[in-house]
Amino acid sequence: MQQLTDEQLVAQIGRGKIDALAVLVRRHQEQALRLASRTLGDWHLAEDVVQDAFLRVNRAAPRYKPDAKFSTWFYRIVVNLCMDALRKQQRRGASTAEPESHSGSPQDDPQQQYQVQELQAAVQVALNQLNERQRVAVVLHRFEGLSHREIAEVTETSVSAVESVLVRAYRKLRQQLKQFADNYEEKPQEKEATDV
Amino acid sequence: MEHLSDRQLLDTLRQDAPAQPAVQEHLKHCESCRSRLHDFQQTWDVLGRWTVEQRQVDLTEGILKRARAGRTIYLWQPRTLLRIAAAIIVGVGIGSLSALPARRPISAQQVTDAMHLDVLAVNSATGWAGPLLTGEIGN
Repeated sequence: MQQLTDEQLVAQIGRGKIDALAVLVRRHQEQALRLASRTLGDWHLAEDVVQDAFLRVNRAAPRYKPDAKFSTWFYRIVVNLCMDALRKQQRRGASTAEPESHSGSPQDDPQQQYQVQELQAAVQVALNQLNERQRVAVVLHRFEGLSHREIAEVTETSVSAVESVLVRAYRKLRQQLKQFADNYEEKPQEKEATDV
Repeated sequence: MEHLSDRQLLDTLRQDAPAQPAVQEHLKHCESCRSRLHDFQQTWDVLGRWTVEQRQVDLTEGILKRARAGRTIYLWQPRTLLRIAAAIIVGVGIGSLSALPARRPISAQQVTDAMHLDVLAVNSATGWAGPLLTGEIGN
């Protein structure tokens, strides 16, 4: 079972073999959790989304036609569920995802830890300012390393639409993170002297 | 000189996708595009410092449990309930229709009478209305 490709595993799941689902989950859960937690900014919500995504794979497996790569199809499911979750959060009026506290390694000095935490929070806030399409595009582009074409396949839009979303998103992020960009580039160790 | 588009600049940021030679050549000579690329690069680098906490979790058992119990869970989902309701409505509809008493066949003459086609016979110069009045059509 371990040697089977993703597409073969989905075919096995379609025939009711639950062991194949277990292999598929172990193979892809880490990446899916990373994508969902970056998109949602909330680990627990990310776990729920990833579980739902695999259950959707399980349900859709009998009808699965391997004309696209499994990873593209699976990314699409995870991304759609993330978008749904973000929209629900927005409807509820909750500000999306409070920045999760990020503890530095114990050997870091307190000042470095503070800088790291500040940057983590700033990036999270900046991403929260983006709309859900922009956020998903940036996560797929910057952190998952997908090309414009691959992002278009996952988000089911055109390449030109993805590019325009990305350009707008990076411009917004540039505005939000300008202070950090300048500080880190010019004086990474002297941030405390210039920062508020 | 035509400057590089933002799309081209974004393309050059990815490590695994080296910039096209034409783009690299343009960047060598264009201060403006280099500056724009620098802006994108800074944002790219700051984002790269953002790490999310990756907890060591294994979702496999939970997913398998829910997959096995799937039929029970999905029964109570709104979509499933709607399907059940639609099936009941269709079933009741078919049942009611089949319970109606069978109608007797209606003759062409009865239809002709009901439509008062005999009125047309007066103005029928060709006499084509004749068969209608005598019920010859369809018999």
